[in-house]
Amino acid sequence: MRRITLLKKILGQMGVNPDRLRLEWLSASEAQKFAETVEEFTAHIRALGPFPAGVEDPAVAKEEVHA
Amino acid sequence: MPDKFKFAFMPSASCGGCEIAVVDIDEVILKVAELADIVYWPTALDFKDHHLEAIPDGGVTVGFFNGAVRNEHDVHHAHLMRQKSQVLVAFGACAQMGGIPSLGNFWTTEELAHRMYDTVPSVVNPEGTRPQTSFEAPEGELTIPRALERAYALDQVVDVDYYLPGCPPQPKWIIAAVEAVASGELPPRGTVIAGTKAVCDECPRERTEEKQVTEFRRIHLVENDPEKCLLEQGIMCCGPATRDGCEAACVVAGQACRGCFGPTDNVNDMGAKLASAIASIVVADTQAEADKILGHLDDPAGYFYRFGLAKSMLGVQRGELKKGDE
Repeated sequence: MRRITLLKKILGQMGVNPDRLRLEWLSASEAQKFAETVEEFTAHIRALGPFPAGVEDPAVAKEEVHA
Repeated sequence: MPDKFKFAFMPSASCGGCEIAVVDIDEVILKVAELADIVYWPTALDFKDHHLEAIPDGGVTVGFFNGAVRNEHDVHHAHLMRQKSQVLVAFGACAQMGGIPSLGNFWTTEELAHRMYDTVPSVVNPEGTRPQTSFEAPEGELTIPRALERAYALDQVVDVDYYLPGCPPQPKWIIAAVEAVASGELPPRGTVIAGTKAVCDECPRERTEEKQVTEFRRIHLVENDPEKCLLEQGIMCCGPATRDGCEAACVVAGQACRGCFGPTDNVNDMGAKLASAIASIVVADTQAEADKILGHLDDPAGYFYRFGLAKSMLGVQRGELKKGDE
């Protein structure tokens, strides 16, 4: 939880929507809740859409530095 | 006597500190001069590109490249140094990992230019004048290199044989590197010429191994106990993930480790490792407590990747958010 809190902050700075990361506590006996959580998170990610290419696009890098 | 070695020193996007580090080896520089001819060192003497271009390929025994690769000219220099040098050394944190210039990777080049030429409080530029890469002067066309979209570490552009870490590299490791060349006993390719453990391992401050932080405090706002681990005093320190070999110089002097030697061998991503280490010493049982302690940190990504943003595994992904949106 502490790590996730800090990681979300770093993700935001790195240009990644922190909502793409989620931590939930579920026990093995909570099958129903597990399924609901995953479905809800999947829908959430779908709504956010594919991850867009950013500044560090490898194609841009290749062209720029002739590596 | 066999031919003398040939050394070349190339600066790129750097502050000049690495060049100072070369002369910081004091009288050993005389031994270097006995051992090797310096065939290219534009900071010290009036060398131009064509001097280096005239040297046959592989004609430089060891090329030392300092600074990040930030513009087209740096790219040219990186390839030129690789072509001319039998052994290419990334000299200093910027060449090794992007260094301070790569903190600019949080923004696009256009955003950096907008800040620099339009919105800095001391700038008055109502016409939005920007430097151009080419200008027709009466004497002919003048050009300056175009800035790239981001800063690169040297090994993201060309193959690198060795790394001399630090901001700037420490004299004892520069000397060790020169001695290795002189003796012909070179370490395996890819070696980072410094310690192999973490700064914490050579830090003289006392640790209890029971770090329990309930509040982070900025080092300039508190009196720190010079005998005790800074992290245990709630002061952010990069020692746990940073390669040793500096004799914990900053920490001994009362400052926190900033991580300029880069990650240790068993750390893949310095920022991620530090985030994990820092978060793990926080005492928080609830989300609200974690938010309270970690939520007010101004710039964790900048702190944890201070010298190595160009080498972060995630990379800055600017497609979704802009810095400051978060």
